[in-house]
Amino acid sequence: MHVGFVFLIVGFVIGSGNGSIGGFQYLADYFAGNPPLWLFVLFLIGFGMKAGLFPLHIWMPEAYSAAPSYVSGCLSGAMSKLGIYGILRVLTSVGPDLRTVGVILLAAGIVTALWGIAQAVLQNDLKKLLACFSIENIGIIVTAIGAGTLGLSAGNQLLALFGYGGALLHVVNHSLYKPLLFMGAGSVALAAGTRNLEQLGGLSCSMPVTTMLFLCGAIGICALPPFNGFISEFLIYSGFLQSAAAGSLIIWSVVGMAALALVGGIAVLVFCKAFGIGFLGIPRSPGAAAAKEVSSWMLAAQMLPLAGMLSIGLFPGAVVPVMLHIAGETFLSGESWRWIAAGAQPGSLWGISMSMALLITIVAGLAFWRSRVHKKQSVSRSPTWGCGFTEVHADMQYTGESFSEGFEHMRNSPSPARSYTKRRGQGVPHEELFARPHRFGVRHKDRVDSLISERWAYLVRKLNARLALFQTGKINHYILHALLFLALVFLITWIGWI
Amino acid sequence: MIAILFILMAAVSLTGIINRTRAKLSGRKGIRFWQHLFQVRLLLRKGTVYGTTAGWMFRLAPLVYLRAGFSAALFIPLGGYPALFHFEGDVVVFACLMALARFFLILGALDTGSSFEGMGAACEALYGALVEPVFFFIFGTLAMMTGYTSFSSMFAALSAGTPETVIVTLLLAYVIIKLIQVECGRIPIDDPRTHLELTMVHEVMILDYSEFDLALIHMGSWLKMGVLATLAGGVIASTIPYKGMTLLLIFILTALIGIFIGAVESIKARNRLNKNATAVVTTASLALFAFLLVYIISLNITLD
Repeated sequence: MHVGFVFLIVGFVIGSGNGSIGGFQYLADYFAGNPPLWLFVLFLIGFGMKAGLFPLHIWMPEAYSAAPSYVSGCLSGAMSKLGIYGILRVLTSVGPDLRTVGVILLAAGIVTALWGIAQAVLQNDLKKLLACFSIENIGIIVTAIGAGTLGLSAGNQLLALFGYGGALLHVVNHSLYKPLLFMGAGSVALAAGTRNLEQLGGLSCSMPVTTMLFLCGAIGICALPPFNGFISEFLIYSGFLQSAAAGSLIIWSVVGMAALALVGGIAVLVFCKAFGIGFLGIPRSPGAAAAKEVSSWMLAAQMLPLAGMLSIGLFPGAVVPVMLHIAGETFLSGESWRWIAAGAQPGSLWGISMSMALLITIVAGLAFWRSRVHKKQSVSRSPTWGCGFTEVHADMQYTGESFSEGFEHMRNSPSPARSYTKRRGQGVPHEELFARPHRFGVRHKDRVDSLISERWAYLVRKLNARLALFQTGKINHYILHALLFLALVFLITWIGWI
Repeated sequence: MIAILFILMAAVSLTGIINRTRAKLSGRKGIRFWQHLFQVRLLLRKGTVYGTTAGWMFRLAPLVYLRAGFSAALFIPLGGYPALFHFEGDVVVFACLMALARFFLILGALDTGSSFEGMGAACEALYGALVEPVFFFIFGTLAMMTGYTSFSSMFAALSAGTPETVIVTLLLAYVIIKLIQVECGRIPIDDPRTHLELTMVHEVMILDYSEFDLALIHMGSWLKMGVLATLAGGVIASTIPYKGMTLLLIFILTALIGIFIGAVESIKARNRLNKNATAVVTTASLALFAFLLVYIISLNITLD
């Protein structure tokens, strides 16, 4: 965090041009005069560390999973968006050279999204999974910002409008469904006593409201209809599609669309794992079996974001024009974008609302038909098909690790053994005659995290080992050190360096 | 209106065509053409059995599966006739509705607490994740070719009929047929007729469903196949500018697609499960190839 702060300070000092720390307002003059790329990269690193761009994202999973759940919700919902806000503020001042800036943002966004979701697939801790998912959503937002910038640079007002508007709407949506999901995870951790997916399960019967709320959050975050995530992704996809249709920036559009689609597909996989293994099925541990529904206050707190999600998802026509208007006012010049904003969307948004309404109506109709049919015939219960096993146990269910095994196999196929079976200690020694308790586990470590933090920790340890020379344990040595330090201060002041 | 009627007709007939093709290729007489309809009619009238571990998600899933499939079908046009719903960007809604159907089916499978269903759910989630870019490569290619972003407008604008358009649409239709094999669980991705749980992907997810819910799921699967087959046939047939001939051609092409799928089922075996992901990625690269082809053609590079 402080590293990012240093970058920002440096950036603001350079940007204000006269040696003092200016604000955003000096940047426009700076960018008008000098090439914007390097300063923009400085700001991107500083604000990107806050937002969680790759490779500066390594603090996010640890921090979000360690914080209390309601705080994690605020962290991911509001705090990381400050980084996005910073990037957008800087972007409003950047004038020339937009194409390179746009390409950097688009590439950074796509890589962040892919890396975040690939990390999320492998996590079995519910909150870490949600945190890695936050990284992915930030990646989507930055991809949309990059798309908008590319559209600006190519004069494609539609892509610019939908890119920025989609990014803004995704910021709002993310700040709605992420707190909902984190609070749900917190409820589960409180009720079941564990966050580990391998020990959860069976909560749909004991905690039905929490399960339903988490399901709504999951549908929202996977950008599936009828919730709000779908609306913002629809805007971003529309921007890409229509610019491909219009023939400008075709390669970037289709690359962006395909990357977003892959990320969305893997997101569905992640949430099938998180929701399916964590909430459905049979309880995998006594803690999960003993879980009870949390208090109504906690549930009411989760209903608030749900109301927001539903209103944006079912009535996008109220929110989307506002977002497009804000995006246009901030980024686009001239008046022609107003025609695009006014004309392009109402048909689509109305169509989406109608099809969602039809979806919900006919699901209700089918449920009604089924209840009528069930009244006439018998409805009985019987054990789940076990293929002849008579002692079906909760351990036989699929676990989170096995659910993501296919993906993991694809991702790690060059060196399967090295990447995740890092052995700590000796394992089971050959000479062990009488079995002692051993603990085995699989932990998936982010490779970038290992690279940066382990190197850094190694360097710090080495340096400290050198400095340990001074720690002799004798008080007279320490007094000598203090005297030497005072002498040094006097010397320097006398010579006049300070 | 005529589009959705055709899709419904294709949905109920394709299974019969596939079964009849398989029977003929194996030298059998085969079951009745409409046998699957009689089976669903029987299922709708029988009593239901629910597993003791299944919760409310298990009961919700078939409803959403069928409904999402039907909603997706409302966006597909037929040759020159527009679909019931059409607006700019409805291709995105189509792809997301197919993903919604898959999402709920997977969750319904995981709700049973059965290891078999979890296995099928894991496979289906992975293949579904890898197949999402294929949709968008196809739509991006069509958008680039026609300049529109709605199914109905795209298909109406395809009727330029140049040789390049026909070749590209043939390639796109082939990619969509491969999509049918992934999304609807056909050989070589999944064997719909195996009775060994370890070899199933889609079938094992619906193992615990009975009667009414199973009927809904069967209908949803037919709808998905009908939708994608009409899409494939429509892509080729729309290149012909005459409306009447287009309808006839779509009819013939959809039947041909059914025969092709049935022939593949008779000739090939299912891939090894750990090779299936590679097969899906191959489909994605085919779609990427089609996109690049259209891009290069659109650049109008002339060699002097």
